[in-house]
Amino acid sequence: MRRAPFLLAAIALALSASCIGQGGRDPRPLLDRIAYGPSPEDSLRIRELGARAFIEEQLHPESIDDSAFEARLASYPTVGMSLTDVVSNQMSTPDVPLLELMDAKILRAAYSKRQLEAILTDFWFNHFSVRDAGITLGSYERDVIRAHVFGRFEDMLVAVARSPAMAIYLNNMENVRDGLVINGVERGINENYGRELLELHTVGLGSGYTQQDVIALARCFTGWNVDLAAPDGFAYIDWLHDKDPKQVMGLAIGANGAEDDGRRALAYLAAHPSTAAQIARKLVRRFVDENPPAALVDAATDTFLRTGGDLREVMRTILLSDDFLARPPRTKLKRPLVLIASTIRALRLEIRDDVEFYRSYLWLLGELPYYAGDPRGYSENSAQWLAPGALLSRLEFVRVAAERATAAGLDLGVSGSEASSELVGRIKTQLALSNLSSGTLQPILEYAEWLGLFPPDTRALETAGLMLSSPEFQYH
Amino acid sequence: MRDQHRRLRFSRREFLRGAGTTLVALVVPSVWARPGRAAGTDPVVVSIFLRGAADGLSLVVPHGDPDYAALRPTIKLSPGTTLDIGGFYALHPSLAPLQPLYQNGSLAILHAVGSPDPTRSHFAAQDTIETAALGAHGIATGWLNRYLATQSVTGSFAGVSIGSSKALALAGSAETISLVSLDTFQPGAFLSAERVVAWQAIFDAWPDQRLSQASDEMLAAAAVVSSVSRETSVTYPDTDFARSLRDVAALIKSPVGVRALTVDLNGFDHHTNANAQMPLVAGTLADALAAFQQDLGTHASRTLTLVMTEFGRTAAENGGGGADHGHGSVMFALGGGVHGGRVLTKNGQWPGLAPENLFEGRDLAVTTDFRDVFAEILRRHLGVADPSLILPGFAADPVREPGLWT
Repeated sequence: MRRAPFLLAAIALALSASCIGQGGRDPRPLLDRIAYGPSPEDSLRIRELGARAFIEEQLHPESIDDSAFEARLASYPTVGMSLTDVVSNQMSTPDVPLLELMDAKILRAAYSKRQLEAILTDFWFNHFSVRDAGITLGSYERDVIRAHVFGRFEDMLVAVARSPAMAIYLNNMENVRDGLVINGVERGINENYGRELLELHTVGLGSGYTQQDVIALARCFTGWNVDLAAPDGFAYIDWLHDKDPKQVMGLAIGANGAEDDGRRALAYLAAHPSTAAQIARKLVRRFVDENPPAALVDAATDTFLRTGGDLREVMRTILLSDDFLARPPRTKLKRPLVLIASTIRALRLEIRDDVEFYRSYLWLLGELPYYAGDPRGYSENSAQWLAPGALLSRLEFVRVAAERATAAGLDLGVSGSEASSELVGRIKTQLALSNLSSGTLQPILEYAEWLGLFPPDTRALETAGLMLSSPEFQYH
Repeated sequence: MRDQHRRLRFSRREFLRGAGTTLVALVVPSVWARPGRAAGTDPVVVSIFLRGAADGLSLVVPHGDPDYAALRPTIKLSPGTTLDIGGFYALHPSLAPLQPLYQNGSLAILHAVGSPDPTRSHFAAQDTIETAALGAHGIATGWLNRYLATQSVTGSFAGVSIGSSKALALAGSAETISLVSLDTFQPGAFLSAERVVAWQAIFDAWPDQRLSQASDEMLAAAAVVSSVSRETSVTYPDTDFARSLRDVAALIKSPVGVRALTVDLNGFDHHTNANAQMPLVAGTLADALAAFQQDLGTHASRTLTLVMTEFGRTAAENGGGGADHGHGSVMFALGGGVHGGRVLTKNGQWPGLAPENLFEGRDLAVTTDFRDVFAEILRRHLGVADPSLILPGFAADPVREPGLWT
């Protein structure tokens, strides 16, 4: 009786060791970071190309044929609409574009072949987080964020500053020169955008700016306003603009400027070393480790400054570094969207008319897309996602997802009546969970043993569900 | 084969028992929640954080200040619309449900209160208040957690954050948990003993121990939540905030040992259109608080509810019918035997809104340091002899306390 756990421990060790030296590089560590987890196609692609060439390909999304995914978006007509079209087609149910956008985000994460672009779009949307921006949101994500994730940081910063979504969210459309009287009411500057532009978007808290800098920066953006009839929704209105000279940190702006005051401030902030360091650190946290290695942050900062903020080059520095390629420790609990998309990919789930199921779990897990509670966006910090209720929902989600997948005909490669070690080994292979440690495998083996009391399909499904509960799947 | 499996299962249970673990007990509510125990008599603190920098000058209007009206041509509240509390001050009309509580002495108001740190960053200021540590970015523990750590409390329900993640005020070494709501946390049969045993073994082996800690919290919470009665005779408003307070009241009334709880109310960052926004959020706050206080019943005397925000808003309105980030604001202290029916300011003095009295020429000054408020609560309500031990870098002195209980 006492020997059984012992035996299983030996099997667990053998199973966990078996992934090492299995011909070619294991694609999981790479796909866990630059994709929403392994899918069979992407794993194959890495085996064909090798890791570096795969990274290069992902850095050039325009080179990747994504027509299969784009065909799926046909059911979400507002997602591809230009701002002008969304405005002119404004329907009786304004929630439709938002819901379509949420669902498209889930589909993109799960099925787009441009995985790195999808991850970076999420990253930068979160960096420049907006909410309650209504029908302008789709254009914001596509034309302002996604269009620039491999471009220059300054260009994205400018596009954000011009976007109606940000002007609405952080009140820059209310930001006008002090003393202006409109309809008998004296108006003035609104600091909201200027403050977050410094604190969150560029140089960051602790970089030495003062309240006077916040005010001066807000004054630079007076007159930067919204015109939903314009192609990008932007209008500069000169009579709202503050014409006095301004001093923003080290940048002096003379009197009688116009729209260019804001452009000069953005150029100054985009090129500021504190901005480079803040962006580099945040990207390394996302792609490498929650405690970012200082040398890699420095290297990425250098690339940012040397290339004038070329984000493709910054990503290349990070993704081709030893810190990234040499299988970094798994320190990051997957954020809810990452968990959900990687589960869909691992189980080859096909979303048809059931996307609401995934959306509802995003809500339960605390990350309904486009609903971040404050301008910082959703947290990248694992501790924020480990609340008891959220953990329970995670474990429930993978179990229910495994049930849906097997009901839809997923072949786990087992009959369900084989010996536990064989059952576990095969399911592990089917789910591409090459990385399970013996500390994880032994309890799974014991559970699979106990499940021998149940019908074979229950046994297979429950074993798969438990495997997806493992930290090796929940972390990346 | 089958017999072998049964034996294995049995042996694992036996093994667990031999190791002295309480895993199986954890999923049995009757063992964990001890329903025979009487509801607690310990003092409780409920911390309500108004996120976004609530405008103290609109919540508790200083009508007696000669400069108030001129600073706010479009967002000022006229004396005829507000609820007078003693001549100088008046409550925002949407706070009407709080007026009876003020009049019967269970609600005290602190004005011109806040953090001496001059930051106008929401996030830095919220962190400062929740950690009660000025300018000490290295401190990642909350003041309420440090309080709990000094108490001989057991079980994670001593500190409960209602929300999708734990409030910083409750983060730290003492066990605490966060829950979105009692209703959404009903795992039922999903937490079978076999699954739990497998998870625990897997999570225990994982290097990041936060995972097994979260799992322990989840199991404890599941057991406790199932024992909490959510029945109440009070009708709460139909808002998320009210539902959160209903859960807080249910936890306080149940014998699960809660000592400190946190709830957030968002939506106070009124850079524009304050005339439309403030009535909604102020109403949400007051309607729910009044129902909550009624629901607490006999537990109201041991429950102090403290409502706070990160900072106030500029004394003058901005160009968009709102106000930008400022400095001093208000706090509300409700229940817990406070000597209410008063607006407390430093030495009874209103700092004033004349240009020379404003902080940095623009904001209501902070004359009462929030740490003096915390210190008084720790000393008078929670029985901590020396609050300095919980408030890092702060020499608590009863002389500076605002006098909530005097």
